Order: sequence, then structure tokens, then C-alpha cells
Amino acid sequence: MLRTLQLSFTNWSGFGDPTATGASNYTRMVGDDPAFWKVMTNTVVFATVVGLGTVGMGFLLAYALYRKIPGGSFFKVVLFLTFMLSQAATGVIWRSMLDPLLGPVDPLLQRFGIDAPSFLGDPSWVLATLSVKAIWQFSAVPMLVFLAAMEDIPASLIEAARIDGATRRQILSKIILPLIRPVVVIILLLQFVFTMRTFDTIWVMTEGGPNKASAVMGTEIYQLGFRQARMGYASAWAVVLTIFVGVLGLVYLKVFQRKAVEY
Amino acid sequence: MAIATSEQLGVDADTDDQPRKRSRKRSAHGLSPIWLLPMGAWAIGQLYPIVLTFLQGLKSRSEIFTNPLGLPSSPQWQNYSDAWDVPVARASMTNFGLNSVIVVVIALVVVIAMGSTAAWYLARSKLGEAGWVNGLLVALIAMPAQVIIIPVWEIAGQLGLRDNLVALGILIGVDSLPFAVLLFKSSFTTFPSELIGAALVDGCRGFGLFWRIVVPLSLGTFVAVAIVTGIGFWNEYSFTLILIGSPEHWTLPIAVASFEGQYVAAEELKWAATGLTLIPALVFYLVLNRQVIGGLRLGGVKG
Repeated sequence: MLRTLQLSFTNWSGFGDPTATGASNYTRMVGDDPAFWKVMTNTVVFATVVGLGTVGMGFLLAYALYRKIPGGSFFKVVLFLTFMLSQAATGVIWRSMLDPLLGPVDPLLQRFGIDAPSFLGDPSWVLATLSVKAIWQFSAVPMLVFLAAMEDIPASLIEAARIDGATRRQILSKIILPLIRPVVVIILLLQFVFTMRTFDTIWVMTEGGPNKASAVMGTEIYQLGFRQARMGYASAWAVVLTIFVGVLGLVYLKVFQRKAVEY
Repeated sequence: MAIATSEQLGVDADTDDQPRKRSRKRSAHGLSPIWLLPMGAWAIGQLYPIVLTFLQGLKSRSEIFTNPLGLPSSPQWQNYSDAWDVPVARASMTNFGLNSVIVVVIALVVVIAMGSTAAWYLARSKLGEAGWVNGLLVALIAMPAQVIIIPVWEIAGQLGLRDNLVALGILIGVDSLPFAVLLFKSSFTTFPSELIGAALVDGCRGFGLFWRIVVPLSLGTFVAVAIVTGIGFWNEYSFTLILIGSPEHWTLPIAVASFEGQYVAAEELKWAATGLTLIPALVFYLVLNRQVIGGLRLGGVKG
């Protein structure tokens, strides 16, 4: 880690010896590199959308399971399947699926008379598509945690509310939601932080393209370091990513902290 | 020695052995069919791409273009055996599978052996009680892999360990160490102290104590950690991408990612090959799904 910091102050190419260049990497990043802000924005947007998406979906799914739909255990099994598969494999599948010439999605939409945009080729659609794929794959873990939290609520509490005549919706909003709030907050943070580092999914599906439309910090670091042999610069990005994540995490916790869950 | 209460951990105190199915009677709500529809829709959405992969793999080359949405008119089972045989970048599917297995096994050994022993030490010592230890572990977990990727590559190069599956396995294992230690530590700190006390009285100490008493009784945790980290190892992509060069050493995820370029104009083989790579994970999951979910819950709740 420290070496990364050290390298970030050089212009190493990955071969030979690094030569120190002071903070020029950083100044260049912020000042000169137009990609920097784009990538930052992409990363934050992607992480936010996917974070909220997985948490939201996870909550809905958990609630549905909590409410005991028929076939609940079957669904539980199905829902975790996607998590088991590698982001690389599912990325390839999705990419092939969405392929305008070869995939089934386009013809399917045509049937409904919808002219499909180029999901991965159109810069305005790319991030959205990737987000959907990420949410598709990772909603199961928040779901599990939320379900556990919901089931931890003592049945007596719910019974008492029922007896007092509370409707399902009231039980949901007045009892369940407040009680699992700390869990939701933490999971949201975790999902956000983990998504900020995404590399596999995006790299496999678009390599950050088209034209950096879907580049996030994870892919950019790889691109710079291993494709463009600008290791020093890539290190600087890595440092920025870490600091960014760290700061966000701290800020988030300060703002939303109700009860410290210590582990 | 601080023992976290079960409320703090959010887990039943005796979840050590079997991931217990959460008592269904906890929920006071009755069966609720209206949720079936959205849930069903989501489930279909979850399964569709996977099912699609296998179906497309059964179509003939032209049929993939002419009939993208329907079922294969006459299943071309030989696509699958062809995909298995045809070399991808001078290496075969069996290669990839084997490599994945090697890497995963090594990583698991590292994670379990080092993680459990380190956690046991922390659970039993004064050092482990310090709040900052947990904080540090959490911070290490949150640390993005990209932060160490470049120096790792550099060091691996200097040590001549690039393209080395064993080194990769160790690296990946170590990368998951903070997480494993956290899980093990939580579990060990709630280990019944009477048992430890009894063992000490009988003269069983140190590693013997760990090996003969703690491990057998914490098997559930071990399994959970193995499963949760194992899934990550099997699907690992970024470190592998950086450190492994020659196709003979590719693991499954890397191989799959290359299919797009390798199978140009052989769409049906691409789908079939992708399907093949999914099979191990699918089989594993179908057989062990209760353990997997239990393990994930353990990991998720504590995380």
C-alpha cells in the first residue's frame, strides 16, 4: 500500500526504474486530465445507483420472503444463484445477450415495437445497463441480511401491534423499518464502498468504453497501469480512490450513525 | 476475555454447528400470495440469462441468428463436446478448470489455516480486545484491491512469480484474510469458556487446545468461511488478470472473458463453452445451497 503511495509520485512505466516527479501526477490528474472528473463522476454515480438498487431490491425481496410467499425456500435458492457466478462469466453472457446482432434482447424488444438503443455502445445508456446488471447480480446479499434482521424482530412485538389493530403497512413503517434501520444504513455503506471498486463487470463488458463513458476508477487504474504502462500515474489514481472511499465512509458514518455496531 | 453477547452479534449463540434455519414462526404474518408475482418476475429475470446460455449452446450456428428467441429446434448436443475439445488460445478447458481448482485450493488453505489461527490468538489475547483491532480489520476489508495491485505486480515481477498459480493462490488467500479473521474471531470469542476451562484443567493447551477442541466444535464456522471465501476465489478475476500471462495458466473466469475474441464466427461454441464454465458453480450450489446461504448469512450479518 505504501509502495503505491510512493509510486504515485513517480512516472514509472512498469519497466526500468521509477523516477520521481513530485506531485505532478496529482496536479495533472486534477488539472489536465479531462478523463479524471468523468471517471470520478461515473464511479460515484455507478456506486450510488447500484448501492441503492441492491439495497432497495434486497429489501423488497427480503420483505416478500418475510411475508412468507408460497415457495419461499425455492426462491431463496434461485435468488442466490447469480451471486455464485463470476462477474466475468455473467458479464460475457450479458454482453452477448445485449449484442444488437447476435443477442435475443433486441429481437425481443422489436416484437414489442421498441427500437432498442445500443445498450453497451451508446454512451448515454452504458452506465445504466451496467448498473442493471450489477443490481441483477448482487441484490441477494442485502436481501439475506435484511431478512435475518426482520426475523430478529420479536414476534411478540408484531403480535401486540396486530392486537392493537395495526395494518400491515403500519407494521411495516412503524415497527419493521425503524428497527432495521441501522442494518440498512450499514449495508448501504458497504454496498456503496464495494461497488466503488468494481472492475470485473465493467472491464469484461465494455473495458470502460465507449470512450470512457463507462470508465470507473477501478478500470481506469488498470487501463493506465497495464495498458498504457503509466504505473506512476495509475498509482496516483489508486491513492485517490482509497482516500475517496475512506473519506466517504467516514462522512457517511458520522452523518448516519445512530448506534455504533462494533465488531 | 471479552465475550460479545449474542444480541451484539445478531446471531443465535449456538449457530456454531449448523447454520440454523431461522425459525419461521418468528414472523407473525401469514402466507402472502400478492408478493408472488413480483418475486416470480425477479426470479425469472435471474434465471433467464443462465438458461439462455445453455439454450443458445444447443442451437446450430445459423439458428442462433435466425431463431434468437425460441427454443432450439433440434438440440445440438455435440456443441458442448466440441466446446470442450476445441482449444482456446492453445489451451484446453480442462486446463482452465484445473488451474482454477489449484488456485482455489491454495487460497483456501491459506485463508483457513492462517485466518483461524490468527483469529484464535486474537480471541484469546488482550490485544484482540482493543477496539482498534476490529477497526483495522474492517478497514482492511474495505480497502480496494486496486490499491495494492500495482506494487503486487511489481514485487511479483521481481520475485519471478508472475504467471505462477501457487503465488496467485497465496495472494488471493491473503487478500481475503481480514474478512476471514473477522468471522473466525467473532465465532471464537463466543466459544464456551467452560470447555476451554475444562481442557486447560486436563492439561491441554496451546495448539493442542485449538486443534482438538475448538476446531471440531467450530466446524460450522470453518465451513462458512471456506464457502464464502471460496466463491470469491473461484470467481476471481482482477488479480489473476494481472499476474497470469500464458493461456495455459488461465483460470476459468479469465478464459471466459476471452471467449468473445476466441470464438469469432462460432457463436454456438461460445455459448456452449460459457455454459460449460458455469456448470461447476451451478452444481456446487445446487448440492450445497443450504450451507452456502448459511455461510453467506454468517458473513453478511457480521459484516
